[in-house]
Order: sequence, then C-alpha cells, then structure tokens
Amino acid sequence: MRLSELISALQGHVVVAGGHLDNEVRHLVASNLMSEVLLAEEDNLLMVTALNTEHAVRTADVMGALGVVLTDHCEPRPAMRKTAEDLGVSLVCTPWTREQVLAWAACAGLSCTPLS
Amino acid sequence: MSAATIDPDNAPLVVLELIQQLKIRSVMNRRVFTVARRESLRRAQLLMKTHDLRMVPVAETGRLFGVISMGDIIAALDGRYIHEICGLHMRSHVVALENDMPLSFAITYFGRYGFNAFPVLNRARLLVGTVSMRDVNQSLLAALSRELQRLERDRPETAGDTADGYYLREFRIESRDFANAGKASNTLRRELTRRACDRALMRRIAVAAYELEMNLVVHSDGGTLSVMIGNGRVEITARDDGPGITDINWALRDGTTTADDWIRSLGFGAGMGLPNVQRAADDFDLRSGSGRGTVARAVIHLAKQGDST
Repeated sequence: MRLSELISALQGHVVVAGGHLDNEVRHLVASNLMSEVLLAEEDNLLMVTALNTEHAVRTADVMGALGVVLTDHCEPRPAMRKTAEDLGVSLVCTPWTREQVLAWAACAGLSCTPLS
Repeated sequence: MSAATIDPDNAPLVVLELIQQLKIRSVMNRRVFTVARRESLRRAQLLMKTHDLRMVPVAETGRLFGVISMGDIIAALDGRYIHEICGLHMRSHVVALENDMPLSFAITYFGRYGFNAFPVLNRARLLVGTVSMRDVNQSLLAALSRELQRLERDRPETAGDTADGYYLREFRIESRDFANAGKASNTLRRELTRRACDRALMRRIAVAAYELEMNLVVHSDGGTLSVMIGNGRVEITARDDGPGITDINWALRDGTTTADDWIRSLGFGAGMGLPNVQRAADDFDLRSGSGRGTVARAVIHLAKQGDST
C-alpha cells in the first residue's frame, strides 16, 4: 500500500511529505520507546508513536523508516517538524490511537510489530 | 508582563534549542533563603523585604514542606496574624521543578501556574535552589549571546576523509542534551548513504551508533563518539568520564536500566541500548568500572575486506 493511501485510510494529514508519499509501506512498528523500535529490521516501514519529539524522527531516520505516524491527535513540536524536513522523513498525524492504527493495518494485510 | 514570554510555535529555532539544552540547574538561584515551619510569618516577610524575594520556601535540613508567597504575607498582614508560625499558613501543595529538567519545563510552568518563582529539588527531592522568570530571562540572554558568538566564529569542520581514504570523525556529546541527541548518528547515516552502503548494513551501523550516542546522553556526564570508516569496517567508539558501570553483565541484559520516569517519558531508558549495540555489531567490547568512566567500542565489517566503502 502506498503511503498516501495509508494516510487517507487513517484520516490523517501530512505535516512533512519527505518525498515518500508514493513509496510502498510494508511494515508498521509501534512504540513510544525508541530502543524497542530499533529492533525492527524490515524495509519500507513506518514508525507509529505518540511521541511528538525530534528524537522520534531521528530514530526513524537511523532505522531508514519512510516516516513517522503521530497518533492520538498529537501535533508535532516545531523542532520535530524541522528535524523531519531536514532529514527528509515523512511526518503524518492521525486522530486514531496506536491500537486503532495497528488493528486497521492488520486487516489491511500489513505486517505490524506492536511494542510497549 | 505575561509569564510565558516564549511562544513555542513561533520563537526562533535557536531559542527553542537553547531552552531545551539549558538545564534548570544552570539557571536557578542556588542561594536559597528559607524559613522553618516553627518560624513566624514576620520572619518570612523580613526575608522577602531584605532579599527582594517573591516566595520563601519552608524547609528544614533540605526537605521542602511548603512555601510562603507574597500573597500569603499580605493576607497575614490584613488578617493580623503575621506573628503566627509559617507551618500554620504555608501552602503545602507545592509545585516544584527538578534541577535536571530542561529550561522549557520552567517556562511552561510559569505560563501554566502563574507563579513568580518555583522551588527547585534535586533527584533526592532535596531543596537546592529557586528559579524566577528573572533568572530565566537573564540566563537565556547570556546563552543567546554565547550562541551568537559561536555562530560568528563559524568554525569549519575539522574531520572527514583522510588522504588514505579513511573517514574519521569525533562528535562531542553532552549529558542530557536531548535537543541534539541522535544528530551524530544521523550525520553518520548521511555519510554511509553518500558511500552507497548496503541498506541492511547501514541500519546496523546507524543503530549501534545511535544507541551508544543515547547512552552518553542519558547515563554519562558527557563524552565523545568517534567514528572511523575504512579498511573494510566501521568502528564506533563512545568514551566518557562518567560514573561508570559497576556490573557490566547486568548492564548488557535486556530491560535493565537506571533511567528515571522523566527519561522514559522522552522515549529513552527501555534498558535495551547496550544489548541493541551488541546485536547490531560484529564485535563489541565494553570497559568500565565504578568511577572510572566507560569505553564502548562496536565494529561492523563491511561487505568486502579491504574495501574502504
């Protein structure tokens, strides 16, 4: 599924496009603890978190993720948005909770790693 | 004047970075004037008048019991009970800050609670200072001045490719500098992308660097992260002169951590940092001891030995 289609399904909006909207998403990893996220080894992955800090974006960049989906109506802090722009990481906000995102992704046939 | 003088949505980025980098301990007033619970409100009033204070903590042997504000003194004068003891009239539900918190917390608190000053506690919950909006503004001005001087110096990069094809770089990593945490690893990843490194390999290298970098930020008193690329391998070394690790085997187990709730609220301190480095690296060694600092070294071999990719 393309990232732009996923955003639409999550009723989300794009904060930073990051040049990945047409990229294929294959895996979602969800956690608010960054060391847990770093365990994921899949390609074409998206990070799902409620952590609206620049560290979430830096973690996504380190693992080569396409982008970060901020859940629970979280809006990114200015430093987070700037970091995403600088690193070319897509940044998306959704009103859905992490559990709702994972449940939907599982039904849509995407592989998921729900963590703490 | 509104207490919240910095708009987190519109302030210049350099100001936002500074209020994340600066810690309350570097801003607070360490000369604390306190009263004991048995002392009179008159004593608190005298301290406020003599030292131009807006609030006096009620504390005994470092333990904070409450605060007396200027409003409390005015009420006591109006109600003619200024001679009574502080313990009877202090505000015992105290909002306090911690000295390890970034300055942004203090600014948020001034906006949220409308107080003129807050007591500051250390990790042991002992009173170590007070912080007022005046302290914040003075420190921020000084830090801005230093930052501008630094930008004016515009120092060129001193590291990069050497004549024999090696890439060497050393990053200074500050303790609890969460605003910049991870930047060194992002830089390393850019370098690996420039060298067209294999994606899976690049992820392993970046994860090892990131975890070592975060370890310096969260657990050390600051240190260096050094990167060497060449001769078919990437070598990442984290050095610090911090408190050291007493039990290395314990530190290498998944889920063991000394991080507090605040660190965890920032997304760190899952207790998986060093185990993640071990998983990502081909070779890993850790030398440390109580009070002797720590040296952690991770080596990841590139696809072909001898290739300086």
